[in-house]
Amino acid sequence: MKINRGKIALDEHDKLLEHSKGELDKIVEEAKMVRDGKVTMRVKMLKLPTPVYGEEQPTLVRGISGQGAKGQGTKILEVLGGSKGGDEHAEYEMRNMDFDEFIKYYQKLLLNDLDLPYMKKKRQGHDFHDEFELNDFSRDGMRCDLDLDMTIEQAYERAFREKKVVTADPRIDGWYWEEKPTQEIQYKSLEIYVMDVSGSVTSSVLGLVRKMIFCLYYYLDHKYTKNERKYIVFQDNADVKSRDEFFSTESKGGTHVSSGLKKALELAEGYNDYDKYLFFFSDFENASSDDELAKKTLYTIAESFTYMCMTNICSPKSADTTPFSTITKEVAEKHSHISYTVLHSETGIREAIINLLTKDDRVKKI
Amino acid sequence: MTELKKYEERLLRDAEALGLSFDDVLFKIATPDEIREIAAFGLPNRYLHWVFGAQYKNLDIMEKSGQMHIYELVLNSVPVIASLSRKNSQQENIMVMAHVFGHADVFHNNKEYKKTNKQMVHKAADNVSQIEDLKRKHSKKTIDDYLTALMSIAKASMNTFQFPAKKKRSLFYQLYDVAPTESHEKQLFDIVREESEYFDVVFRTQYLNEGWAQFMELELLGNYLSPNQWIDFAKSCSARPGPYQIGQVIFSSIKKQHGFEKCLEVRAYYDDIAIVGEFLTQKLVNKLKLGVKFGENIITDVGVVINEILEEKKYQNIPSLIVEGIEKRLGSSRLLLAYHEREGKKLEVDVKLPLYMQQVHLIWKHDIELAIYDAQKKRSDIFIFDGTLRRMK
Repeated sequence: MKINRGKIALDEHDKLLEHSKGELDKIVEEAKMVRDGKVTMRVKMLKLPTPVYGEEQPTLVRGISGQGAKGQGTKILEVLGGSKGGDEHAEYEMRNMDFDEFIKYYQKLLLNDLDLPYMKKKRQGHDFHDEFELNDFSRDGMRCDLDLDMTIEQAYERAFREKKVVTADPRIDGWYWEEKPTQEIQYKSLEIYVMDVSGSVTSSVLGLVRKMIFCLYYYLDHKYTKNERKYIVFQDNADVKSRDEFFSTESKGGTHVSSGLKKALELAEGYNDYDKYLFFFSDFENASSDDELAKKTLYTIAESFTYMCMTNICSPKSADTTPFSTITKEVAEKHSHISYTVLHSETGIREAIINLLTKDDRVKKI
Repeated sequence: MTELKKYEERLLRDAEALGLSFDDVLFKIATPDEIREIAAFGLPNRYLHWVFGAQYKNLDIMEKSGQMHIYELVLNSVPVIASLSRKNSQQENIMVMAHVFGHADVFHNNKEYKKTNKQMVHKAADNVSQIEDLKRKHSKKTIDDYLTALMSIAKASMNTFQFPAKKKRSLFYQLYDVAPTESHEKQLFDIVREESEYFDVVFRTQYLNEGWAQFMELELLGNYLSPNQWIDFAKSCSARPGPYQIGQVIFSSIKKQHGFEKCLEVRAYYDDIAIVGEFLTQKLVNKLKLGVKFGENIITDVGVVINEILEEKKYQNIPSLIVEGIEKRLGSSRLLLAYHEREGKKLEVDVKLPLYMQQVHLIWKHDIELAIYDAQKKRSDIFIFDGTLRRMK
């Protein structure tokens, strides 16, 4: 078992911080969340309380091109030292984070907050890898990794060289972990994320959808060795988008559910040896002229996907009783691999994930 | 690994031929996360505390946002343990191994490193057991809070570790000697003191140690790299932190002016204050494009640059509170602290000072009085801390 003391210490650190998830919640509600593959975030970190100087201090810098100039003729300056100051015990720093890394960072906070389970390490070989990172943080204080194969041998050599005795104490001498590679077998998923971007989608709804997608990523990343992901946005028409575009699309237009469903069906073609997932987000306020076609497409699509999650993102004030939401609920009742969730708050995310973990036979095995 | 082993042997032979000497060096390939973990704690098995979690978070974000990559992590121990990142290319690993031999040579020969505990890896592991026992006995929060206070005070007193005269009045050492401690608190004091002193050497020799390691890379790799590889290598060097570059340029200059033997002498007997004070010249400051930024102004005069580096080395940019005495009154003892302002070095008293005084109070357990003296050595302010910080009128 791999015990990551860095992550345990990080957990201890983050427990002392309040609102660290709140900071990120604001980011996921921004329409243009991803720019050039990066997310700009404010990172909050605790520092040991020490006295500081009350005024700005001189700093050593590198990268001067002029001589003694008054801030002129300078290129990018690398600050080599100096006090940072700060207005409280915790300090903030702005960081441009790679989107993938942002997701991983946020997932941990989300899972904690929503009280969702952690998964074992990514599936490899015939079954899951039998080692996994320690995520049971109550087990702090355990010694870090022992690699008896490698380091004890060295401990024997050292003990013999120094004391002429062949002895080793694993508690002292063994601390290094060497991972043994295993043969990898591919378990593949095709995940299609379909988002209604008609005019009624608010920033808080957008935030909820994104949070739910990050949670879905987490569980499906742990379930499959290869995750093929496709993204569709639709209003009157449906368009295939890249992931970054999907997370930076603004709302406009009316709702034609059938366009989104049909596009998903098209994209799923040819992925025969994949488990296919459809995650559909809409307020289900479909144009009445489209209801019949949408219903027909929904029944067709139900046969083509391994698991489908139909998520109603209607405003908390509205009831989920539009004609198309009623149709969707009926379809979900008739098919065990289709779930229907109303996403008014983070509780809805939890419900959708629990449905995925309990209803989908493949994920259930995790 | 077999290929790397061949390079390791060649580099070892070449390094010894140049006059370097070291304890056994044990190279290991580790994942970036393992390296990050050790870098955050400073040692592979050190007690758990949120402060290391904050360092881990910082490194994690910096690496993942592409701001830095840790190529290696080398421990001052016997044998020297060097972890090379699994992400490194073959060429990077060769560079890193040359770099590591430079560090191992400093660990073995430098007068400051000779005084350090070479079994600190094991000692820190023992400290983990002690602290875990104490957490079980006295509650995790009690022990964690006490450790936070001790580490804060040690960090703020670190600038006195190297000067015996200052050490006597240093808050950390004074509290170590006179603070009312229960046996478990004394145990924690010993641990924090021992580990802080071990890491203090690393801070005091950063320019020398990193500079020497980068200088040795240049010396050793001359035999291995093609012109294209040299270009990559030069780019990699210029992207490294300031102390690496400054230290390396100083050693190159010493070699040019006084020969390699002098370099060996400097790496054995100097620390950062000595090497920068004696060998950083205006020519090198210009070459390195160094300056000191005062608001909008940047001064590139060598005297100002040296002063700034020495300021950082002596004070670590942390105001130094010293102990003036202990005042006994009515069965209680008041700790008398003083802060002597230097020009442009006023103490921030509204936000950070109360937080810091809370830490001192946790250890001292009685009232504290802090007198502030201005640059003319006149007492300008007095504060009392008895759970809250109050300014005396």
